[in-house]
Amino acid sequence: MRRHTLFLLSLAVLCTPRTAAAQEPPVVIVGEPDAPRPPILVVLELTSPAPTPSPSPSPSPAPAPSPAPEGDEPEPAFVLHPVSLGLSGLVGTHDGTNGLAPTWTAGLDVGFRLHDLVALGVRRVTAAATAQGRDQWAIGLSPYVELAGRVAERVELYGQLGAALEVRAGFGTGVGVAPFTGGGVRFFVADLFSIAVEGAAHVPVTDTFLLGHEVFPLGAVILQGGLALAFHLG
Amino acid sequence: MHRLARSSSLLPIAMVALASACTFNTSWLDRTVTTRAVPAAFDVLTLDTTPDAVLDGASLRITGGARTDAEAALHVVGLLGVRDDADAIVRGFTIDWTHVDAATFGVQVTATSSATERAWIDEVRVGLPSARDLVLRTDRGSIDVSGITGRVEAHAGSGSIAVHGAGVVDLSATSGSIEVSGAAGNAHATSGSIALDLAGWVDASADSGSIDGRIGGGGTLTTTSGSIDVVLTAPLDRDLVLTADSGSIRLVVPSGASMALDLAADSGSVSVDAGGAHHDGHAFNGLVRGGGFTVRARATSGSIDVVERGPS
Repeated sequence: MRRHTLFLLSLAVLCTPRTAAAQEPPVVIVGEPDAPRPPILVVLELTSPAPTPSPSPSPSPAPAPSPAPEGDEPEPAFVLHPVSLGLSGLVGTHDGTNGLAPTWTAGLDVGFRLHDLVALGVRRVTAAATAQGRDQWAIGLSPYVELAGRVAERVELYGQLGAALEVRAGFGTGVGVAPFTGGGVRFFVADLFSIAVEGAAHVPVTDTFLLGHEVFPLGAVILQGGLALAFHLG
Repeated sequence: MHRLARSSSLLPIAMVALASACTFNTSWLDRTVTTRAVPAAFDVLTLDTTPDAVLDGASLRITGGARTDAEAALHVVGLLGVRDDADAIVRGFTIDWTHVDAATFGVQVTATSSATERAWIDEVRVGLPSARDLVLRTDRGSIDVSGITGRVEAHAGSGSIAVHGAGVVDLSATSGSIEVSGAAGNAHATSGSIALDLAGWVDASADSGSIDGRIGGGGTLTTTSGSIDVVLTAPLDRDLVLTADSGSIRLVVPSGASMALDLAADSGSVSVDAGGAHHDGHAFNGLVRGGGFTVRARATSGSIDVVERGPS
C-alpha cells in the first residue's frame, strides 16, 4: 500500500507539465521500505537550490509583521501654493505681404490663488515696440481672473478671463484695451514649478492695439497659443 | 489614472490649436501709390526719410535704366480692420516731386490718413535714368540701388545697404551690412560686414564685421573684430593698408604683380607665397618682382596670408 502510493505520486510528478527550467531529471528520494516514515516525502529539485529542510515538521509560525522602512512612507499630498510667478509667451499668425506673418506676445505673470478653484493676477507684464519701422512702443499688462480644476493630482485645467491694457508712445500715442479669454493645461512637474500649454484670444476694443510687435485694428480676433512657466510659492 | 490619461489627451488638441493660431477680422493692405512721371531734369536725386515720421522705417529702392523720365511710388502696407476703408486709407498717402535746387530733385510724401498706425509706408521706389547721382538717408530702413552709374551716397541707421553697378560710392551703415559693386569708394559699417566688388580704390572699415570681396586698387581696409579676405584684381595704383585687430588678413594678389610687402603680426603668423617669395614667420619685409606700391598689413591677434593668384 505504501509502495503503491509512492509510485502514484512519483508518476504524477513525472507527468506534470514542467517549465523549461525543470529540464534536469527530478530527484526522487524514497524512504527505506521498512522504516516507519511519514507516508509522503517527495522532493522535486528544480534549478534553484533546494530549500533548507525545516528542523521541525510542525508548520512555522506566521512571521510577525515587521515595521515598514522609512522610505515607504506615503508621500504627503500635493498642495497648491497661493502665489505664482512666471514667464509666458504666445505666438500666432496674421495675414502679411508674403502670406502669413507671425504674431507674438510675452511677459511676466503674477498670480494669487484665492481658492483651489479661483485665482487673480496680472499676465504678460511687458514692454513692446512695433516692428513696422516706426518708432512706436508700448507698456502693458493683463489683469485676469482664473477658474481652475485639477483633473489629476498634478494636472490642472484652467480658463482665464481678463483684459490687456497698454499705453502707447512714440509714433501714435494712446491707450489700448483688448479683452481676452484663454485656457490651458497646467502640469505641476515639481511642487514649486509648473509648465502650462495654453491658448488665448485677444479682441481689441480700441481703435488700435499694439500686441507684441504688431498694431492690430479694432475688432480683430487674435488667436495665439504658447507656454507658461511658473514658480509657485507661499 | 483614467482622468490623467483623459487630460493628457488634451495635449494634442492644444497643439493643433497652437498650430492653427491665427487672426480673424483683419485684412492685409498691400497697395502702391505712384507719382506722375516727370522729365528727369535733374542731376541729383536726394531722399532723406529721417526727418519725416511718416517715412520713418521705410526702405528705399532706386532703380536706374535707359529712360529719360523719373517716377516714384510708395508701397503702402498695413493690417486693417473690418471697419477700415482701404481705398480711403490709401488715398491718404501722397507722393510728389520737389525741387531742392536747380540740379536736385527730391520727393515729398504726405500722410493724412487717420489710420497711419495700422497702415504705413513700407518702401519708397524711384525709377530714373542711370546717369544720375543719389544722396540717400534712412534711419530704420534699408537701401537698395541698382542700375545707377553716377555717384551714390547712402547712409542707413539700422538697415542694410546694397548698391550694384554704381560709380563712386560713399556708404555707411550703423547696424546693417553693406554690399557694393561699383567703380570705387568708401564703405563703413559699425556692426555689419562689408562685401566689396570695386574696380578701383577703396576705403572701408568694419568695427564688428568682416570685409571680403574684390578690389581693383589700393586704399585702406580696417576691421576691429572681423577678418579681411580680399582679392586684388589689378595692379596697385596706390598703397594698400590692411589692419585687423582681432581677425586675420588674407590677400590674393594678381599673377605677375609687383609690390613691396610690409607685413607684421603680433601673435599670429605671416605667410607669403608670391612672386617667388616664400616666407613663414611673424613678419615680412621685402619686394615682389622689384617692388612698387606697398602692401602694409598689421594683425594684432590674427594671421596674415599673402598669396599670388595662379595665371588664368
